[in-house]
Amino acid sequence: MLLPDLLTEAARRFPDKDAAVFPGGEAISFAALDRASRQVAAGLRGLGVRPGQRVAILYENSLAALTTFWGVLRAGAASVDIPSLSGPATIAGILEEARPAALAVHPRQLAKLGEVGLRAAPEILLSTADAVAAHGQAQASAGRRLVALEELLAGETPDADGPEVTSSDVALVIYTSGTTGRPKGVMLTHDNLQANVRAFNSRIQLTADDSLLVVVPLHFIHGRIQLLTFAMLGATLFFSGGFHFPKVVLDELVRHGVTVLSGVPYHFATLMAQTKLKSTPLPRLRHISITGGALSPAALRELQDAVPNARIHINYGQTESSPRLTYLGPTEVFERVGSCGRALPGVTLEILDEDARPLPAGEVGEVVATSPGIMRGYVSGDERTSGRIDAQGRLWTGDLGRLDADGFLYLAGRRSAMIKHAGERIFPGEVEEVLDLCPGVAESAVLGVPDPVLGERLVACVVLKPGAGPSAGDIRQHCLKSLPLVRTPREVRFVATLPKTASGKVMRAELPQLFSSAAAAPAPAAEPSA
Amino acid sequence: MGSIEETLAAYIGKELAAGQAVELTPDTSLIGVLDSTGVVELTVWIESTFGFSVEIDDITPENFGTIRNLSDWIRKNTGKAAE
Repeated sequence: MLLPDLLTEAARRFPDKDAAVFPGGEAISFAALDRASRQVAAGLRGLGVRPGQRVAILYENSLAALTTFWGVLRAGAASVDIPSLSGPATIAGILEEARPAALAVHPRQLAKLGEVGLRAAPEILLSTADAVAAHGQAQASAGRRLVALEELLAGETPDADGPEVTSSDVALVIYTSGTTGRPKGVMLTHDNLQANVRAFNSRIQLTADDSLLVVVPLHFIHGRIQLLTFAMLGATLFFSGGFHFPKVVLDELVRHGVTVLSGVPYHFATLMAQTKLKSTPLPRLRHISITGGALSPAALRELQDAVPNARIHINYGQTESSPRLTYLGPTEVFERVGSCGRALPGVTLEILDEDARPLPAGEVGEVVATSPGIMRGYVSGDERTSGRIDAQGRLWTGDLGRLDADGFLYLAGRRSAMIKHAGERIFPGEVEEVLDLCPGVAESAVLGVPDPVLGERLVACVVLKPGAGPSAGDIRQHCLKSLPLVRTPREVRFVATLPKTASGKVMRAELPQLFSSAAAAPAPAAEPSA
Repeated sequence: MGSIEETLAAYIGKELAAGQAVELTPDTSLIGVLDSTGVVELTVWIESTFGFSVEIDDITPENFGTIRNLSDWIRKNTGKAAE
């Protein structure tokens, strides 16, 4: 079974039911979405996109993004998700590595691609009729064909799917942060994702009667897995305007009467801190699913008190495992405080030491997972040489943790220096690489400091070259030219030296102390606040 | 100091969206330019720059959707503060 079969089956069971409703009220039924996916697939094939090729999607959440995604899968191609707030250089890097046959791009994103992004773009661009009217001629003169999605949707609706692909073929490529500073393209197959969707739902037990408020961008694995889950269920997705405006999210929860809200801790901390969640009755909200990190026990209790009818579910995973590995149910959340749950069906968790020897219950080591959801690999092909996947096909998560005697996992840190800022996975290397290119910066180290809403706040320690004087504001603006805001340090602290080992490696464990210490180097004159 | 629109465009363009390669006009949708943490930073900056407290119920697309909307809303609030 392939992923588009989930949509076909939902269209057969619930043809007239809303598959998705967007802010402003635009909606599409399962039957209409299924039909549109066939039209887009036929159109893509007509444009020369072949099964097994890739089609990149650079879209904000929208009906066009949804239709395009299903059409790409239906065509037997793999979608490549590009984060919509990426800068042109990041977009170009992804396009150069993934080499898609076509790029589906939101009109607003098309304008933002810039020369750098467009240079790396494939020959076929897919956008809206408005975008074609505005940019079609310019793209044609640059040797590219800009096609309107509306043109594809006006085409025939073939009954049969196109050339066969198998469920072990890659369906999605999701770009996520990599330790080396370049985003890593995680390749997930139809089998990977279906196994994960089914295993997780065997625990949370959502049904066709449920409905979800989508608050995450679809380009995250978290967004994609919600889309697939609700197609499998034949249940409705209500797309939120997003967490730019937490009050609007709360209004949407009330207005749509959704039964499920799934988010990262940042979302729930924001709802509690910046809205009237506690005084707003949400009687229909039955499930809260928290992924991508931990809320403190006090915050969990506060959330449960604010939404007493909702059952809180916690899970842990990574993009590389499609993504969920564990599940902690509503009764366990307050009994197994601090745990992220037990392995999902089909998943085996081991705690191994650096020599890959299993550690007994209670001892902390690296969390290593075996699962039908483990990725095919990275687009870059270095999943084994980098040690992420071992010879036995196990995923070395980079997370440190312990299992108790009952198999509950408790995370205890990270092997790498990964930072989770507002739910985003950020590796110091990718930010330091940019910081070190800032004129006047000798070297830098970034770290996450605890923050009640963001989880961790991204901050930087910077050593300046002698006589050089970029201000914290200058450094931040330099970063923003290459990094999205969420990956730009919120604060810059000037220090005389970085703590290092005898071999010259930065001692990251000592950075928090350095950051909080007053023994910093004098800041350059006229330093604006970062 | 220039108009509120110019001040906002300069701050957003320089401090929050320097790498976005997008022209910030009064009617540019800020949703496509800022992420949710950017809206929080913008709110903190507005409070310190224009000298009034932003109520959580006021952080809405109607008030924060574009530079024009935001300027009108700031004008209204600074007017109130001056009364």
